Amino acid sequence: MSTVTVYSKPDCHLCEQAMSELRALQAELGFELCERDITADERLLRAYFERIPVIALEGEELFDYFVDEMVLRERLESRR
Amino acid sequence: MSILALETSCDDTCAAVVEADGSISANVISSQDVHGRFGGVVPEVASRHHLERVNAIVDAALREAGTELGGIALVAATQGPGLVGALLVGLSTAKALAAARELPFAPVDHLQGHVAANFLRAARNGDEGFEPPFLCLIASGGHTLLAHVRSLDGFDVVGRTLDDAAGEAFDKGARMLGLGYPGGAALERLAAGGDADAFCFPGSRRERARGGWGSARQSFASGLDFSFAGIKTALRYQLEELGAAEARGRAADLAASYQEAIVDSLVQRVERALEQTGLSRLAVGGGVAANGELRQRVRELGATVHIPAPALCTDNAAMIASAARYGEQLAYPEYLTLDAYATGERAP
Repeated sequence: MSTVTVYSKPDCHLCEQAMSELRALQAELGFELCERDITADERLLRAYFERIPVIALEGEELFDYFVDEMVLRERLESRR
Repeated sequence: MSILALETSCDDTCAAVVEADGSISANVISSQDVHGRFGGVVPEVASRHHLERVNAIVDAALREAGTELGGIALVAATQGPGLVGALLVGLSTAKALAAARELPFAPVDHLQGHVAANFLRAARNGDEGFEPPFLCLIASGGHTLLAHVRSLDGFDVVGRTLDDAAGEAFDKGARMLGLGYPGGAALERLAAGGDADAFCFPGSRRERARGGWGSARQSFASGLDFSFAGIKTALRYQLEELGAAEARGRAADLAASYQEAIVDSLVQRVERALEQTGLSRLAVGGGVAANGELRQRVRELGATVHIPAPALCTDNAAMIASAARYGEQLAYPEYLTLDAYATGERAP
């Protein structure tokens, strides 16, 4: 099963929005969802800072700020 | 006396150093190119970018002016109107800089800033500044209004848009024509090769002549207020009617006719306002002032026309510093509780 990682920060409303959209898609599209708090990792904080949420599929950055559902569907399909 | 000013009301992070006589020592503008892929400015993303850049932009302005915070006598910032999250970044930064040195602080209204851009002296262009009284058309992506400027520290609004701004109509029209965002300039380039009489859009002279849009609403048809929502819808219907292939083939004609309608609408009200106020001097500001068709048409009105340099027409901090010279200045620590305002007038 593919893993979607959301790089986020506490109190980031775009992150909360992305997480809730992804949770709603999780059962249908079948992927693991993992949230990483960038404030707990100096390297991630430097890399992403205010450019969050960043959404990655199996380590590849797909989106920042917003989830593009159509692209996510296509990318997950092509991995099957 | 040097003034340090910040402007962050939308998607440009701006800092400037301006002297008491209105000469500009530095005018740094950092535009956020991140919004294009979303088709418009995303407020939350704009705020974050301001946050990332504001300190570096202030440093750059001070460096370019050859000064440091110790050489600044007054700090100013845009208080509103604009995107509140974006405004707060500039306002809070400016208040903190002022407070650190116990300097006075001037909160500035963004629209007063656009008016005050005309008071600046731009030596490079031989511009000695333009003093009241004059009529000022401000047309940008967020604002469209006509101001009767009687003094250096205020203006009366004689006409304003009832719905969208002229610049927004340009940008959204450009997006519908597939020119990307922001596309006002691209639309103008495309229009240059088109026939402005090919299509008839609301607000154009031809449309008015045949008794169309607005003529039924007498008070609007004869007044100084603007409306640009209808023209966007009209373009959408026109594109649907033509179909994708023909619309592509006639894109230049569509752009030219669409541009003509927006410019007609602006120029007609400017002409009427000059008549009604008896003013013979006109200033134009805001991003739409960059439009060549508009510049040419207002110059044909017979008034003395002043249009600041392009970098002073679009959002910038030099205009905020200029306004700060004549507006309210608060002593430390009176300004620490100041808040930004999104719309309308400044909170008392």
